[in-house]
Amino acid sequence: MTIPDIVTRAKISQYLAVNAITKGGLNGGGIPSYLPELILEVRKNVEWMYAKDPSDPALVGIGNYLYAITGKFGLQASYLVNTGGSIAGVGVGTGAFRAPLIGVVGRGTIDDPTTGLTDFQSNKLIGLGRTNNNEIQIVIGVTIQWNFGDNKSFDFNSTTGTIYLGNGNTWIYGSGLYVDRNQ
Amino acid sequence: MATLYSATEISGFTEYNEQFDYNLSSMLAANPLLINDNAFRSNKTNLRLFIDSGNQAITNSSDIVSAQLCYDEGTKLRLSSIYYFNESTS
Repeated sequence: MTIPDIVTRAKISQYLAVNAITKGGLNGGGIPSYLPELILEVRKNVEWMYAKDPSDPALVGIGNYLYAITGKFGLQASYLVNTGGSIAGVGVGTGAFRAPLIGVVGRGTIDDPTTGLTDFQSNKLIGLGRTNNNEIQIVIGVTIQWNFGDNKSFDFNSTTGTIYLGNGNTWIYGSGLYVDRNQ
Repeated sequence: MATLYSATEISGFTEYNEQFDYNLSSMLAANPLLINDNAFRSNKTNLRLFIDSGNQAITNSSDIVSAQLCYDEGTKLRLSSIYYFNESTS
């Protein structure tokens, strides 16, 4: 991650942290009240030096420190940056909840796989399973399917958010698709 | 002789204080526990406040007197850093 990437995420993390503290009630949900200020201050230092001398030897260390203090807000900021800036509510205490992707093959909306194809891509699936080696479970029709271990029935590209059906299978018209996006 | 044009540009001189604030962040990166030092944290915030306030005074109203007062407060923190930013406290 480059310094400009970190700065962008720090800017977003700052207001995510403010909102989380505001919604956190007593003690700001355990988030230090100084966190948004600290993110602001360190981010300004990084921006200042990056404009002045991008090769400053301390810059990488301070940049990494900046990304570290953004914590979970930095991860949420990454999600916002990668998806164009929407969804991803700020979770208080238990983390953010993401609504599942529900599609019907051949129905024709953006969340629906196309009949006869072997793959299905959705931006809503980008990043899914990233903390578990891109391993996920999905439900097609009434059958749970997975992309790991024995009897895996599909492949999944977390970077592009694409499901590839295996074993020569294609999407069958009318089948339901359910993907829990909190995995 | 007619005056063809004149120009006045006002800029705040914040280089030393900016560099000092950057060094404070460098200290934090090297020793994250320093953030638990309330004096260090609040004085660092004040330093940023003085720098930015001085810049705002110039940018918004070209008020160099107010700007200098803000910069002076920041400079005071820098010049007396041994009292305001004691790295050995955590």
